[in-house]
This record gives sequence, C-alpha cells and structure tokens, in this order.
Amino acid sequence: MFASCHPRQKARTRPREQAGEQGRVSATMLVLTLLCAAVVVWGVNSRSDDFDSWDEQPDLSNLVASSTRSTLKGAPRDPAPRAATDGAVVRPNQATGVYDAPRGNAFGKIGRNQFGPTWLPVIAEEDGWVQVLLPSRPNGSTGWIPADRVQRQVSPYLIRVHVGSRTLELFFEGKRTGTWPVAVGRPETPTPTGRTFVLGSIADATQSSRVILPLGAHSQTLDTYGGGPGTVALHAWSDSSVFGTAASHGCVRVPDDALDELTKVPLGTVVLIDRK
Amino acid sequence: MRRNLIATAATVAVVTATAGFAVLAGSSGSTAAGTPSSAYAFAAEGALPFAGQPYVESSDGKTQTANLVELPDNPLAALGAGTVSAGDNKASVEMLNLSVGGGVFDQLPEVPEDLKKQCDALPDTGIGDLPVPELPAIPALPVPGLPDLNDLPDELPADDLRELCRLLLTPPSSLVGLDLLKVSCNGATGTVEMGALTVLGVKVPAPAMTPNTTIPGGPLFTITLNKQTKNADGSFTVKGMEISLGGGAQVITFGNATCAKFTKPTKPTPTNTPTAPSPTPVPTNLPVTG
Repeated sequence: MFASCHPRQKARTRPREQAGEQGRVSATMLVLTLLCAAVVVWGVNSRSDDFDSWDEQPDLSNLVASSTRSTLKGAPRDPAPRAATDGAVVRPNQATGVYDAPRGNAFGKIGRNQFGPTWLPVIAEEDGWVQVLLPSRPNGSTGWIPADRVQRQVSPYLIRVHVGSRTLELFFEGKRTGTWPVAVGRPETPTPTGRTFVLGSIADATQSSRVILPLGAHSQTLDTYGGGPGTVALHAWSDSSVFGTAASHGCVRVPDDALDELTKVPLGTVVLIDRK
Repeated sequence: MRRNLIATAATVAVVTATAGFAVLAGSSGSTAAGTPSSAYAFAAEGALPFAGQPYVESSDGKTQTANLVELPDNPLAALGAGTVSAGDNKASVEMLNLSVGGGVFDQLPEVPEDLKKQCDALPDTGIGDLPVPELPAIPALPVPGLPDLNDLPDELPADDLRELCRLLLTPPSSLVGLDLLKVSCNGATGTVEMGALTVLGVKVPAPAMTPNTTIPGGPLFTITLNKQTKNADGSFTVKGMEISLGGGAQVITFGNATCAKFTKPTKPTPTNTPTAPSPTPVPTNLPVTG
C-alpha cells in the first residue's frame, strides 16, 4: 500500500530539481505524528494514580503522614500479627511515600523523625521493597517502602506481653532475659493484642514514669485519652500493687527494674501482645 | 534529512512486506543472581510511561500467572486478552488481538469539505505532483525528532495524496494490529511467534526473522522484533516487539519475558547490618493511655 513514496517538493520555495532534498512525506508520517501528539495530549490529561510511577516520589503534600496521631486509610493489614521477625528495623532517609504494595500506590507518607528518630520493624521484603509496621491507626497497619529509601539496623530484642497472665517477657538474641508481672488494660479498656513496636522513648514531665515507651498501637476503646491520641505505651507505675492485674486504660505498666531493661531496647523493636 | 525520510519509506516497505507466521529462536546465556523471572504483556516508557501490565514475577521460584482482559483506557494500545507467566528460569507471554494507536484515528480532525472534494477528484492513477488541499490543524509535536506536518509542501506526489485521502476519509481501526503474539524464554533461549499483522488496516505478511531484527525508520521510529538481551545480572530477556518513536522519546513494548534462575535470597547478617543502639529519651509531651 506504500508501494510508492515519491520525492516531494515545496513548489513555491524550491525548484523542482531540489525535490529530492525535501525527502518524502507519506501518510504513515501523518499517522505517527498524530499518534505521538495524541499520546502527549492524553498523557497530560490523564496522569493519574493509575499510572503513578513508584520509582518517583509522589506528591507528598497530598498525603497524610503516618504518626501516632493520624489514621491512614488503605494501609494493608499486618498479615502475621503473632509472628516475630528477624529483627530488621529501618528508618527513612527522608520523608517518603508509603505504598500499598511493591510498585503499588502511595496511600500515605512517613517522616524521618517522630519522637526522635523513626525506626520501623520490617515484617516482609520483596524485590527491593520492605514492608513495615506503621505507627498510625488502625492497629496492624503496614506499608511498603523502597528499600533504597531507608537506613537499616538490627534489633536483637523482642518483647512479649501476655494479657491473660499479665506478664511481660524480654528476649535478647532469642533468649529470655527477664519476666515481670505487669498491669494491663481493664476489661472496658483492654490492651490491644497483635504485633506492634517500640515507637519512641520519651521523658514527659507531666507524667509520673521517668521514661515512657510509646508503642505503634492504640486503644481500640478510647479515641483520645488525656489529650493524647490513645497511644498505648510501656511505662513504670509508682504503686506496685497493680502489677499482675488488669488496671490500666490500655497501657502496660511495668516495674522499675523492668523499665530499666526496656529502656535499653532499640526503637523499632517488635512487641508481640497476645491473650495468653 | 533525505536519507532519514527515505529510510522511513524503506521502513514502511519492510513493514508492509512482512509475512504471516514466524517462530524465532535465540541464544545462550547464564544464570541470574537475585533477579526474579518476570513477564508482562505491555509497557511504555518516555513521554507516556506505562508500567508493565499485567505483570508477574517469581520471587520464590514458583510459577506465577496473571490474566488481563483489557488494558486501561489509553491511546497507545489495546489488547483483546493477555496471559503472562513467570517461574524458575522460565517466563511467557501470550496475547490476542493487540493493536497500536487505535485511539489516534478517533481523534483525527474533521475532514474539510474542500479536501473531500479534492480527494473525490483525484485520478485513480498517475504519479505526478498535485496541490495539497488545506488540512486541518495538526497539534505541534513535543516528541523530539518527529516532523511538523503543519509544514507540508504545497504539492505532494499523487500516490501519497491518495493514501492521505484514504486515511482521512476512511480511517483504519489501528496503526498496527496483530492477532497473536507469543513470547517465551526458557533459561537463555527465547522464542517469539507472531500471527497475522495489519498495518493501517491492511493485512501484510511477516518475514522470517532472526533475534534482534531491527527495522530502522530514521528519526521517526524503530521496530525491533524478537529483541533478546543478556542482562548484566545474568538474567535473559526477550521482547516480542519493541517500537521506538522519535529516537526513543517513546518506547512501546509488547510481550516481555525475563528468565532468571531462582536463587534463595541471603538475609543480611548481624555482621553487615549494624545493631540498633539503645535510644536516648526525648523530652516531649505525649499523653498515653496510662
């Protein structure tokens, strides 16, 4: 159908003998031209989340930051809320998008600092991506981050809280190094079970414990408490009679000697809370 | 300029001379370290990026398969159906009824009456130059390397003008159509099978091709069939058809299969990942649940 593509000429500007220098114009050129023009027009009009390129940072200004004070919709749920990890923890090199899957869509963002540095436990890895637990509501929220956007360390610790027996166990490199009776949430304000992590280590002059370890979990019965977002924490308690009881509003109250050990635990360390 | 445009004409001739069905086989390679086997039916890079769809990869050596009924709405390409599969050192793509640029013809400007009359008046034969009627305005080209067709000459050869009339008055359904494309790799061997090819609505035969058959089109486009690549990480990739527009400003890929031998990933050891330190309490206020 393109059996002939003849030299063209620009009759009014060039003599016929120079027609060969003009090259050729074919209908195919027109079609390709229109194709490319249409592609560009369509591309401008339809750049959307459907084709959000994961290897470029999304527009962070439009995303909600994952923090203990926020709720993120669209976060994948923790697929194994009872499982320990290999101890890997990561910290964003800079504010970064958080995605619903490797090469997926960004549904939020996470910053480099919250209470001091933000360290998140890695619960899965896939093709250059890490899946981490998030500090935002709802409990059990996770997100995927490109592995090249985070700094990596290893925590040798693991904390287990048993709501049923009201005890806390601390493990170092797989070996139990301590067990303490603790106070857990009352039946009407229970300590939420599942897999969470040590989000921060803070000294709050308005609260009695010399150090408080906020976790990545929240009370599921209290949206707010004392002006805070209902963050569950590990902290000391002055009245030792509470240990071994269900007396708190969701936090885990621990003896002073337990807190001495728990304050050595790196940020991002996994905390497994179960009903045992 | 002349050389490039003549090359374009040559490309057209080659494309239109291609023949029905071809089975193509590839070369040897090596195993991969860490890269999974993967496959996708369609992807684009450049002015309009389009992540591979449907995309599967075998991160654990088990075979993963995905099907696609149709692509999301776009002017680049459409598929009737597609199946992709990737496993340990093997991958395959099969798609039916693919077309390129189907949306383009829907966006053609309305043909002016003067052009219709002039098209009707064109002689059936003859190769002499004829005046070019006034054409609808064509958007400027932001893709580098492509010509501006608003700068057409005042006259065109009659055959080109007849072809232009045919396209504008009876536009085809797509720029390129292919009723079947199968792409697969097994280790470092790639195979491509192509069905009937249609260019601008006209069925054309496909030639017997060796791996990495390149059809140059000057600054306009390059078509590479059965493109086979040994990747630096040891994996092996075969692409059924790759169309590069505007010197790479837009690259369209149909049928991509990458084969890599599954190797169990090694976890970071404590010796190469630093142990996290104990934190220093930060003075701040956060009421907790008490």
